[in-house]
Amino acid sequence: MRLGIGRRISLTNGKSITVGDMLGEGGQGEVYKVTLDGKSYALKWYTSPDIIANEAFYKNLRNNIESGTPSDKFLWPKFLTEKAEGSFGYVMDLRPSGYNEFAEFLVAKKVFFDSHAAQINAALNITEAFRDLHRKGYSYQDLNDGNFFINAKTGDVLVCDNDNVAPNGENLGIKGKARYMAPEIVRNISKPDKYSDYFSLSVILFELMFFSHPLEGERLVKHPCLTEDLELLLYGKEPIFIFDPENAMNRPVQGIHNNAIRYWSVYPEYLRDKFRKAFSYKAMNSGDLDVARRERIMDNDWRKTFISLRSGIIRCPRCSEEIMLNIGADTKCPNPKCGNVIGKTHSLSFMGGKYRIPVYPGIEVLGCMTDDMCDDRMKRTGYISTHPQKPGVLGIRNDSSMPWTVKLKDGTVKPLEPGKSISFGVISEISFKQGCSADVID
Amino acid sequence: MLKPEGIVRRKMVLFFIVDTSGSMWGTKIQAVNQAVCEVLPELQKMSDGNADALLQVAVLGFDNAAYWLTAEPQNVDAFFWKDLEANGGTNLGDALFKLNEKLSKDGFMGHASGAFAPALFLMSDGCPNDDSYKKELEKLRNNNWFKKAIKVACAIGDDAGCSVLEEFTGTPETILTVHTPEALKKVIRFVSVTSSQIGSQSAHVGNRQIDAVESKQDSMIGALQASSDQFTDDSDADEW
Repeated sequence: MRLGIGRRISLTNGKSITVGDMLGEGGQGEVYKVTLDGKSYALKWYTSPDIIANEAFYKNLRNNIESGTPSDKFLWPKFLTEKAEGSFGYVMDLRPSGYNEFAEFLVAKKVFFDSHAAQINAALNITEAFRDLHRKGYSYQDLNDGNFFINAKTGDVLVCDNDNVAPNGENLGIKGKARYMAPEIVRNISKPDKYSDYFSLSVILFELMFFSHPLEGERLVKHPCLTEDLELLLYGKEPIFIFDPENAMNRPVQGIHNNAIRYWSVYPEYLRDKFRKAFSYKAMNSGDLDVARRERIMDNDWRKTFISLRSGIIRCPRCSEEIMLNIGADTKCPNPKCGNVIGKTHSLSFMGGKYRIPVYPGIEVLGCMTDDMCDDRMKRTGYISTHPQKPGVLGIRNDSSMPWTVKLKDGTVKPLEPGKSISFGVISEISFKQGCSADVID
Repeated sequence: MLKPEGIVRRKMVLFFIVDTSGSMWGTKIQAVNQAVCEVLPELQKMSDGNADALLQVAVLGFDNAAYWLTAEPQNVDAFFWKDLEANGGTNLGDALFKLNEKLSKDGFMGHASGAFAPALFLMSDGCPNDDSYKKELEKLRNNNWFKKAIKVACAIGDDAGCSVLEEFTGTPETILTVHTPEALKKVIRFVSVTSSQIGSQSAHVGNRQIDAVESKQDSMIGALQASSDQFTDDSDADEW
């Protein structure tokens, strides 16, 4: 029974909302525009009998509202309604303008990222959102392509559908969406938790970067009909990554999986390696869940990878296309009309490889790279530039407020004061503070 | 940044199999025409925002003989519903024969990136007046696409042959009986949208065994049961 316009519904905080237009509907319920104290919000109103009858679900929503949003990247439930007309719902902020659903980016008909920088920002924002959520002790449980609104220009992200979020280890009945569930969930071996979130997050990130599904290659397309049994096999019992280095049975097919093939060569090897690990046999082997969970890539680990990737974007000197520089290898401009090759550069490896950036003019060193206690990925603490009098000689400038210590190739050590630069040709290591350093890799 | 192609989607074909015999003339066939036209924008929106499946539609009418209104399945965003007219007999056998022909990789189900099992939606207000339907149904039941398909039927009015429809769907749980044009329109909307959604909907953890899978048809039955109050048609008599 749909809610009529003008209907008033009481909230548990004693106030009441007035129902306006219907904004959408899905498997679990309907979404309406509502007003509260003169301000517009969205109301999710449940129609699913399973949820309406689930008292634990209602209580969990109340708990989540009381404990508050993990960060500003969530359209988190704000107010709970009293039960009315045999159902209930919750109130959240409306989606601001300028945001599109993630699926629209994947369908790629009308919505496209403005740049790789925006695309990688989106990846960063998603990983940070889930890191914040997991750090609060929650698991999301139903991570799929319908959970995100993304700004195509900036990569800003809002995570929606937060009503299945529960303390890690608890499950309110949701299982997830086919193609995004971890193999052990597909097989019904265990219930969603933070480890299955890690798997689903890797699927989302792969789709975001490659506009392809990581498990859908040759094996899938040779079956004309995707039956339930086949889904169980391909996503549950025997999933195989399309770029698995040890198993070539499920490679992307030229002419069908064009995005996967095309974008695989665009990104640096360290990103490809991260996905190989995320979708390795061990990480997906539901027969040995302890090992699988250990092998999965955590959100914070993804975050560091995407910070490095974001830092390593340059413009092609020949055609201005964005290039994500390789570490330790040549990089070819992804513009097929250009084909310019940027030769292998020196690189900086921070804190034993947690962050890696190429040495190239204009690249910034960030707060989180020079201080292991700092989370800041916006603040610049160093800058790579060309020597003002010696073209071709690259150096690093200390943009922080603290002196650094540089180790020269002859073994001597000297300070690098704030505002001062030194050429890469003469140094082998930079120490930022006790326990935080970067190696210069030739 | 180089523009990506759309993510590879499997296709999902929704078949409308519509009785266009003489008894459907008037409000019944008009209700069908109107309801499908009204639901198409919803299906188009679903397809546009769906990274799992590309929705397509195929239409098979049957009266004295069966005839395809779509030479091949049409993408919902490019599909135009041509109003059906009603006259003649109820040759269900020919409809089943023609459906069987096209439920194959070389027929309507071929797609480079594969397909989901189709959804078959049969609407009829009478009993078949041909002898061949049993034989054709038998053949159809051996078709693997048919076996895996979501099968729903709408019995329009008191004279609809529910037992025949049940033979088609394989279960009484996916047969919806309607007595008024309004109820018919509601059913068409619900079945079209829900059967198209089933392929990509989040599933709930049940008391299933490890490695047991719920069929699409079972999911459809669940969805119909959960929304049964929407289709309760309390009319005592047909109002056409």
